[in-house]
Amino acid sequence: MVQGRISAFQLSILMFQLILSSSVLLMPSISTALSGKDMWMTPILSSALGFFTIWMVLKIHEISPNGSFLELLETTCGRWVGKCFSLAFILFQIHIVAITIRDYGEFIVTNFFLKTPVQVIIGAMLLLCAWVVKSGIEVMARTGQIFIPVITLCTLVICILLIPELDPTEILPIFERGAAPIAKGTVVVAGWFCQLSLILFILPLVKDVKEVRKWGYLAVTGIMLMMLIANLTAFLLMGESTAFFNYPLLTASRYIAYAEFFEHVEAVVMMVWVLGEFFKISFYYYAICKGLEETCRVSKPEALVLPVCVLLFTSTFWLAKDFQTVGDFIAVSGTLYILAGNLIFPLCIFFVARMKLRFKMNQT
Amino acid sequence: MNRFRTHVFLCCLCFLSMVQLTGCWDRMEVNDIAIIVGAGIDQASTNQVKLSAEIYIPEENNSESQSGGGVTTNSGNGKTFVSSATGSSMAEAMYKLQERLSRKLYWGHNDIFVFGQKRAEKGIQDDLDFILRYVRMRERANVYVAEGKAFDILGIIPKLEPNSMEALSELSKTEISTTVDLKQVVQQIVETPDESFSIPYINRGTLVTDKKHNRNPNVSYFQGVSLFKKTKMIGSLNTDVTWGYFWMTNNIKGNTIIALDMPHHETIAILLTGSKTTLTPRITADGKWIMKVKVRSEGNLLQNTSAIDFMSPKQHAEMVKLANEEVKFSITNTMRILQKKYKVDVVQFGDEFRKKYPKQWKKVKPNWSTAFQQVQLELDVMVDIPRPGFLNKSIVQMKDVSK
Repeated sequence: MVQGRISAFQLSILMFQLILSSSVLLMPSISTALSGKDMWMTPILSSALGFFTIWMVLKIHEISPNGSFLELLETTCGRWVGKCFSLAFILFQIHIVAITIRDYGEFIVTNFFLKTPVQVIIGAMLLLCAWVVKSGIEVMARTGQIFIPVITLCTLVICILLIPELDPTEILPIFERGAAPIAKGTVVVAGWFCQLSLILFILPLVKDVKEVRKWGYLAVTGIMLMMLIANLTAFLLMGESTAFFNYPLLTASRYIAYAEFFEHVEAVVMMVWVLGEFFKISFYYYAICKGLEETCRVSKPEALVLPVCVLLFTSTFWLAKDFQTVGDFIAVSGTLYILAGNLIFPLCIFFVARMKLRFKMNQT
Repeated sequence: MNRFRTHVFLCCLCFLSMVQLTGCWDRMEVNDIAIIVGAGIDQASTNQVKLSAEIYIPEENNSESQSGGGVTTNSGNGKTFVSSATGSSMAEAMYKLQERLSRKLYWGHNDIFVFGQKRAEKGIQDDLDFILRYVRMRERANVYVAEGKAFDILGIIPKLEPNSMEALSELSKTEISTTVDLKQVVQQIVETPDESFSIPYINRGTLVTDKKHNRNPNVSYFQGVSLFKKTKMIGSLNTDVTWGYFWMTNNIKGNTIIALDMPHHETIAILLTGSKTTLTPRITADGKWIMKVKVRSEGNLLQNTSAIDFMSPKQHAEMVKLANEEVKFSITNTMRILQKKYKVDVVQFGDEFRKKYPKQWKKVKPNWSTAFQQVQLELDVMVDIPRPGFLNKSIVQMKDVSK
């Protein structure tokens, strides 16, 4: 693993894709199922949690020794307990990324490569990710600078091409079922936003940490806008039947037809999904390697890349045997788990560390 | 040493890449697939469904060489053939259809689904599940209901279009017809309380061909819309009534002709250039549900054999009034049939009320089909006739002038 350093701007681009890659395709269906006609509000409401995550992560970064969260864990909880916490936190991230990888594989196998074994699809992706992780965060960031605008543009083009088919009155009546369904949908979308706390691992590698606040907030705003566009496109096109499709935006893209020859553009969605997931998986993968390197004080971090690759590959299949388990996890039980791990756990550590610091200051 | 290693490594890579030269073993070329251009679904016997597929024949002019084991159409120059199979479900029927074909069925280009009337009456829910779940299908595909059997519609070899499916989709674009695709059907099933929707209703051309066409043009005819409730077909509207339905649902396209009903068999015909219908729901203080239908359309005079003078302001107003009455009559007639005879809301009234009065809607929703019958109409129709065409007076009137 080449260390390398990135700028706050590059980090924000990676953050942008980290959240959007899986949410744009999966979210419209889940949030329609939970919030009905008010599903378009959920990204706006839950982006508050996104802003909070950035704020919290930066606060943690301020009080951490060398800016590293894992070292903060060790100083706060003691060496061994801290190490256990670190490992648990990394294992948690491995679990989350394994779900993401599985979801990626299932999407490709269900919709495009019907006959290819899912292992091949996932294996190929992981090898590619291993390569970019080995080349370091800087390479990943620069790849992102080239491809993420392309991905975003393609998603936007799909939405723009659908504009003539959209019916804006679909969202009426607003607040049809009251606040509770909106809250449910918001919590699930928040499960995506809180994954931003993954940058805890990367912050020590950022050159201009002071700028991270500004760029981080911009990234959250961008994510919110893209989610809103994707949600609205799917919903204004398909109405409440959005909830019935597993990948509403793919269904929507198949609906595009102009002048009897410009149709069948769903391959663009596949490209968006593959490239997007590539960045999400690599980012997680890098963070996991970085975390293991710090916790176990590995002197030659490159050696970690391939073992982690194998671990990710196998855990992808350990965690679920079919689409039902994966889908259920993402839509229902998983959200609280993700929120607990990504938000509540760092928050608790932050408060404990702050109290300890204040206590020390009072003593001296 | 290091260089030697690199060389060995590169040589290994070269040999490895030779493995790839065999090409892809999973290849699926165009000549391995049977492209389906249209599918028909019929009720075979009780609990059996018959799936017919119109399949494209790639070679041109290979007359009489259609094969595949299925039933083929008996035309000389058809570029498609129709094959069908029966099974307990769509999935099984497709599997059996595949058994008979040497090529793999390919659904990616299928743009049309035709349901036979019997199947439609029994309910299309099970078939929709298969169609929407199977990944190769397209939500854009148009849906039709055929009077009689869908199989017969597929078998038509039209003269003007390359195959019957092309003829159908072109037919849908004309002003007398409409298109309904899978997405719209699913959306309405989910969003309406009675799962009510409408699908264009067509029949086989030969039923009317001998009377209305010389030399058998072989086309399918649009003959109104079929009405669905709880995903079962409960009836249909004929072309005249469908016209009122189009007025209600803002489906009137330009180029539609209104022929006014005149007392002494004269004709006033208006060629519409544009039309817009807006529905505004209202609930009065005493709990009456009223739907205000506002129609604004514009058209030019196409034929006038009556004594009404277009150029005289007073008589022009009369002409406009006649046109308005015609449209109003057509709308009330259609609504009477929908509300009293079929009791089915295919005109999106429920949706309009839901958007404006969500609270009241929630209460009424379970009994919507009863409440729908009580909804009163308030018509506000305005057909503008701004231009007279090339003549400013009818021929009868000109004679009067020269006298």
